Amino acid sequence: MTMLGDRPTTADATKVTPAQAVSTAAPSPRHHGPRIGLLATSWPTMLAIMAGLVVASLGLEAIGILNDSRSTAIGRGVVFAVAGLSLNILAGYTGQLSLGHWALVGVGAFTSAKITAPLELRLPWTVGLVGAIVVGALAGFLIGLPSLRIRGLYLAIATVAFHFAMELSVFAADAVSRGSAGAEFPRPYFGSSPLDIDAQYLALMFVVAVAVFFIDGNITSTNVGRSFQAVRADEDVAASFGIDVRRAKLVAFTLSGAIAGAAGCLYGHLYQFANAGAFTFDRSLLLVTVVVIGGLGSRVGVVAAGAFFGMAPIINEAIFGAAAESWDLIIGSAALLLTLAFNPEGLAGSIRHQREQKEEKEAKRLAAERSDDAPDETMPPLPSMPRPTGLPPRRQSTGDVLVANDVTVDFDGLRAVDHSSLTVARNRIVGLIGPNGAGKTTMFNAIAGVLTPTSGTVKLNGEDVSLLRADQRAGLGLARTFQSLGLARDRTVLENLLLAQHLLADYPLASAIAGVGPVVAREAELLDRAHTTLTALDFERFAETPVRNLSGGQQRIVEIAAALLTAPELVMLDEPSAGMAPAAVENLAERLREMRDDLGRTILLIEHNIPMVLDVCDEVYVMAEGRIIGHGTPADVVADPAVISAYLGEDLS
Amino acid sequence: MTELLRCEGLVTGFGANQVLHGIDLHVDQGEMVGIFGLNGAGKSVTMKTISGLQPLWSGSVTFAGQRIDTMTPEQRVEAGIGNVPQGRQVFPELTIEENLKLGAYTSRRRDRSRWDTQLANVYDQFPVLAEKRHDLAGTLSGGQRASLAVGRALVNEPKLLLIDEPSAGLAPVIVKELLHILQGVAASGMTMLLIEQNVRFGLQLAQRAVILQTGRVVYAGETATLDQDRLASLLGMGRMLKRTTDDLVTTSAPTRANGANGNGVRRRRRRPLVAAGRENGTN
Amino acid sequence: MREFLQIFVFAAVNGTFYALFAIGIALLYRGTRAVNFAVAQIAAFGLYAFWWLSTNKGMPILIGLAGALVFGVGVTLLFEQLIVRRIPGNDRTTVTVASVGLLSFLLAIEAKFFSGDTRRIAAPFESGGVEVVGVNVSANAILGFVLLMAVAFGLTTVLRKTDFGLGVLAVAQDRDASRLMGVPAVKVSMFLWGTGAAVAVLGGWLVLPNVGNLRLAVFAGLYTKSLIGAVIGGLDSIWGAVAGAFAVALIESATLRYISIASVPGVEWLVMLAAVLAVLLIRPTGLLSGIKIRGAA
Repeated sequence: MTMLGDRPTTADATKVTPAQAVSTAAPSPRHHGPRIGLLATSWPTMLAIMAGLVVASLGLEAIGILNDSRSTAIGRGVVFAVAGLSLNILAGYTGQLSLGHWALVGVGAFTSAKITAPLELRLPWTVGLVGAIVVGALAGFLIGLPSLRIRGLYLAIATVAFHFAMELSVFAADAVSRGSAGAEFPRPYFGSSPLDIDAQYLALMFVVAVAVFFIDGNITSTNVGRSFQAVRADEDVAASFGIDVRRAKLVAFTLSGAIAGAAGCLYGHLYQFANAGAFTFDRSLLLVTVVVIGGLGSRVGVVAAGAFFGMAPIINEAIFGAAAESWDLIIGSAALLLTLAFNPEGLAGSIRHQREQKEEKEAKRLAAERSDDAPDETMPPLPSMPRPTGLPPRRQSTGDVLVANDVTVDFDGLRAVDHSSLTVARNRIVGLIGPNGAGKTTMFNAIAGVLTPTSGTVKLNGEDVSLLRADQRAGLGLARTFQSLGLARDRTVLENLLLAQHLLADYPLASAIAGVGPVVAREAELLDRAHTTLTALDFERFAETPVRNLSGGQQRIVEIAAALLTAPELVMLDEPSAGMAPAAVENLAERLREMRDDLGRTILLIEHNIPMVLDVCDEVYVMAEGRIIGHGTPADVVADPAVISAYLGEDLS
Repeated sequence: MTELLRCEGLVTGFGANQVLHGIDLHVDQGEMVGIFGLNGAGKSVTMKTISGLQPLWSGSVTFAGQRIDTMTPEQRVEAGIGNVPQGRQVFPELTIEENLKLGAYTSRRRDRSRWDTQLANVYDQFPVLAEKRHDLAGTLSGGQRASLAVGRALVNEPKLLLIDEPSAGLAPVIVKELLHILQGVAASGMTMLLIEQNVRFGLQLAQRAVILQTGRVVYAGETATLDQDRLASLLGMGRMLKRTTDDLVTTSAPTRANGANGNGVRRRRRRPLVAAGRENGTN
Repeated sequence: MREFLQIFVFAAVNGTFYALFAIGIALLYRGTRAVNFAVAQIAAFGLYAFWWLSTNKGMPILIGLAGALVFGVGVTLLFEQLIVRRIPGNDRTTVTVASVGLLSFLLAIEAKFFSGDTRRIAAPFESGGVEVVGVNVSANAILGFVLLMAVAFGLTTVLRKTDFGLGVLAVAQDRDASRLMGVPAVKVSMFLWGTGAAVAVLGGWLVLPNVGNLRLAVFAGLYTKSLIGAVIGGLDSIWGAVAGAFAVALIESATLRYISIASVPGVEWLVMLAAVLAVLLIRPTGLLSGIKIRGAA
């Protein structure tokens, strides 16, 4: 990450071989922040932590500290931590509330029992674990299918029905748990002797739990987790970055189910016995508590909360005596309520939350101090957008980038776009103007594939994309910004810039989860490009700031930079000047020209700042009442009385 | 001229992001004031600090001699502020009359005996509402919805009407209808504060304009005396507005067009930009 | 034939009880787009007050009932005031998760302080009822049905015919715009939570003789069926929730009658899961949701 000039230009980038692209993007050491650091170094660290925990368990057992009951208590904490991570993938990362998650844990448990318990089979524990993971993943996938259609609370209620159907029917069936007699879970063997001492089994649980923890880290630090978070933030925005929303949801449900299955296997073999009574609804509720208190989306917070609530019954038994059960649930649920009321981001969010409150106070204090007419240009002029570097080659094409032909969009009988056509030639800036409600943004959405037009076709680079989804159109080189901000507001600026490169993160899912293979080099490359962008924008100081804490204008800059990161064929900007400080608006035209001339971009622009549009555009389309009523060079358009009349409204008297 | 509303040093924002940087403005009795600015200038937030939906960080809002900045929106309505919410939001699943009943929520609670008169007054002013009184508001056309949104605020007999982006998302022909409606209301002597992005529309109504930019008042004055160039540059209308306004100001005094301009587009008989049409009265 | 008709009688009785919880769920969802997962547990909590006043302290049944209502509604309003109102932007998912928190909290309190013994409280009618096609329909069930109809008609009337009721409907459509009309959104919220709790306490009292004595999580299964019913019917429609509750009861009794597998208990739950998924896949917001019936809410 040295000088920009060292990189191939964008035009060149289309000719660079992938090997070159990778080699030019060697990761620079200082970029190894906490997230990527985890990825890059995960295997040695992970193995060291595993070894440490195994040695600690066995050592403490040997000197008599870790007896069976303590080991079981800790083991229960491990199970809840792993199950919490599983639910966190859905509720925390992807924003899909599952209220029946403990039933998935049950699926894993009974699968493992079926595999390992029958005397004629006596398959090893590891086979049971793999079986639990596979069947758990399958169950997760099946629960995920309705999520493609059923949303929000309706889905949450469907998961409640799932829980009860599992607990009261499937888990209670003779074939699964021998009715109330329960299923047996033999302990794994090490060599020829079973791990009968609980601390030994605990050591094994730690190995699995640490692996899950690191896998979860790999998920969040790669495009897998970023796509989940984008789906949670806004499905349309996710699609604009090329994320297949349906696939992302199914992957989240499947991974979550797999991890829940692993938790179930650990759980069953810890107690060596389970019937349907071990999978009651209150456990599912407790898992929700764990994830919310742990801080939705926070790996460490969820593990801490899971371990605490898992071990709590035993902790409070030690403190209050054997009769004092249930305090854990009282404390836990009270903590959940207080968390929601006072700090919705949970424990993990509380540190960040405090910092933000400090920032807010500071902002208020500054506001109070400042005299009214003191200049407060918190935002500098709009910076030049950096040239994305080291991009993989894309198919070269010539001709018009966009041809939207005879597009009509109806909403509830209202015609928002009425047989409108527009063409954008390569390397041009084309403006789309018109009064409020003229249908400009609807036209944008029809072009981008966010909504399906009633009729009409859209061609991108000569290819008919009318039947493609928004994410597929993004994949063909269409990038856009949104009037209402096309970023994941709760994620940091850096995370958003990585998210925006989703299309370039073309490594296999397995590589991402394992944290080895193509993912390492490619992620380093994405991170490098994100940092280059931050540096060019002089936004390095905001790298770790959640986007929602930026000013409107700063958000806009990040959004535009994000849209340019993949060197798209067509950039569609929806009112880029909205919310920008005057200083930035003043040179927006200049920046747009740079994008066209220096970066080689083709731009379709909706803008209310008419002088700017007239100044910068090669061509302008004017919309009113859903129709294109004027088209030509800015000079033509300004001279067209029809346009003036329509744009400024009818004679209003 | 007595002062009805005074805002001093309005400062607010979201989180660490300060949006308003000390807005001062006032509205006199019987006056119509317009707040203008580009998207993101802080118009909507200013309106929300007055209606009570957005808490202030500092500054004060005084209405009819009374500090209202710590009141809930409901209390402010009771104190005499009427709202036409953003986008002329009506309750689509309720009938016209039910919408109007909600508009009169605080006055009906105080004294229900006046309801028939209040309702009759609104129906007088907006006959179309009387015709459709038992229809669901969701079935109304854009212009009818605008009438309902305005009527719903008036039925409570407010002292001040806050109107939030009334023309947003409306087809020009309906914007014209809306202009007539609001001119009618103004003619009845109602005090109004309007925020609007459609400047041409807003300037035809407002006697006084306040221009915001990034949360500050950058220009204000009687609409008749505003410098057109400066206005155009502040509101991003540039050459286009300039051309048209020159054109408008020099053309002859308006006559009622009533859509008589045929194909419309080439006719230039326009009302001078700066002469708010009070004389039109109710239509 | 007689057995076939009996299915409907069972369904009518059970559906009545499911509907009494479902109506509270639907009312709150109608007004806030949030789901109250705690409503049945609130009912159980109120009934502990009933038990304490009436069975334990020997006071008249009406005092016990009043105590149950005060306690159940009181806990709910406290929750509304202390927790719900503080949730930023009244985000409905967060409110729903908070109700899950309340459910956990009340369950935990119950497990801690009331576990062990089952507690008996006086039923509205200790005996009596009518026999319909060979099924005894208890007087409690009949009273429940009367109550259900009264509540459903009463609520739809209040919602349509009073200013406050219109305010509730308006808040549901646009909270900010309603406040700008002068509708007291806070009172609306209290009304929605409080009414749901009161109806659930009454319903809980009526259904208790059917499920036995007061014991830990006594209404859990019942509530889940109510919830499934409300979803099938459409969460935002009071009559839809009632109809859905009867539909679930019918599915349940038909399954129990015709599909009986000795080695797999609880088959009715599998059928209900299939039913709710099927309905949601066809109509993601429930069967009767969004169907505008004049005079219904």
